[in-house]
Amino acid sequence: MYDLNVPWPRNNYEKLTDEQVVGLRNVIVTLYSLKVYKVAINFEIDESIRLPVNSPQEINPIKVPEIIDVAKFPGLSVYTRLTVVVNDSSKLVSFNKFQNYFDLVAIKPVSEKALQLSIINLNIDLISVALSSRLNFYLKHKIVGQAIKKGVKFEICYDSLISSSSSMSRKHLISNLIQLIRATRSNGVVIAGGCTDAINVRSLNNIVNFFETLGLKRNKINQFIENSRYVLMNGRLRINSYKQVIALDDDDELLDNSKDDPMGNSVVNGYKKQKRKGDADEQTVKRTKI
Amino acid sequence: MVRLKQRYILFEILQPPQAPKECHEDRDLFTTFAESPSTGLLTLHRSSPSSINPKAITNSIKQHVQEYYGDFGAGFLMTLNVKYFNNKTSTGIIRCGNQNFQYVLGAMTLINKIESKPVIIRCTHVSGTIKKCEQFASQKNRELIRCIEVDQKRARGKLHTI
Repeated sequence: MYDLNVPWPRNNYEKLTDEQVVGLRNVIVTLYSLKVYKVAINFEIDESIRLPVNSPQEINPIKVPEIIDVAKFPGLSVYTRLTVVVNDSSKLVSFNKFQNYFDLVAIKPVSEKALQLSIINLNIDLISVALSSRLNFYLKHKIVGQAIKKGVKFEICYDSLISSSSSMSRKHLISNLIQLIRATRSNGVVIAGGCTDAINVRSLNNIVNFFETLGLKRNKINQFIENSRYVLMNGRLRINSYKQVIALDDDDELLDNSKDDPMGNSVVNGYKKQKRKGDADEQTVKRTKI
Repeated sequence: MVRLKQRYILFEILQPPQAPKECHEDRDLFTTFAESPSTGLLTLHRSSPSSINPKAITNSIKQHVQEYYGDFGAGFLMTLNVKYFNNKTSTGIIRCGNQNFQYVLGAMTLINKIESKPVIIRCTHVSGTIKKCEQFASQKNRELIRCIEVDQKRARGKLHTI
């Protein structure tokens, strides 16, 4: 199973406190105990925050080994994800530059125009609509369908559904959810957690139980899992393939990130590219031997 | 004669550790929780305090159904009944009517706290007979124990691959 959204506790480049690190680790382990083995840590920033383009090691603040020792947990793999809150997509000219530093790239559009433009212009994997506050635009099936046709999936986060205490924000959330389910016709939806606290983690089956009463179709549950897999594959292909089309590895090897360089020390052009070259060399060596 | 049909929901109560500032007793658990898969599982499935009892569970489900589905949903809950709950294993079985058990499931998913104790309620099985629920529960427990054993063996270095 997959959870593509475990929020990074900070929205900027400051260091985490010890407690935050332990909290994040606990969320991942709780997910692991519920048999969610592929987890993506989500670093969410505003479009106005400047990324440290000059020092490539620091673009991705998520250093997985500092958070969790993946080797202790058989089957677990942790990915990194960037979410940019988009208000004016013309500001995102440099977007393509930092795509190589994260496994997944997502946007969070605030206005309808931002949604539309970023679907057309940007190369993204996921769209996450801010569900917990009132949406100031109407999700049109045409735009949403355009995105799904392109292979971009929409994300539903259930965290605020469970954690929010005011009935007003819950009402917004449920109305937005129904809108999203209607606009996507239950296709191209990814269910992710977005849990900042281990207490809000639920298994996919249980959360679908609730969404079913909102009109999501239960028989699509396999599709949701498949969609998450698709999104992850798409993101990994960006880093590990030639022009996002050709890769030498098969599916499982693409998703296996144990060979990556998670600390990003040795690299200038995106921390995973270098590794790929090494792999390619190995392959050619093998072939010449044969 | 058609008999009265029921649904039996098997659930387990998981207790993830809380950040120390909210709950002092959990300080050690909070830091040791993520040491290995088996400590994680054992902490989540630890035995629950006596404040979590069938009555408290029924009350909090009723409250949540009322909160989320209003009077309409609460009307379906007349036959809600906790048939079995064990504090040691934190597992239980709930009986409810078979028409609108989705509301019960939905509300159980959204429960955050029982008697101000933070918990996750996880529904593992829904069945028409209580016997199947029981069988499933014992099967599930066996699996869990096997998982923990495998992990502890691995930690001791006896087993290298799974």
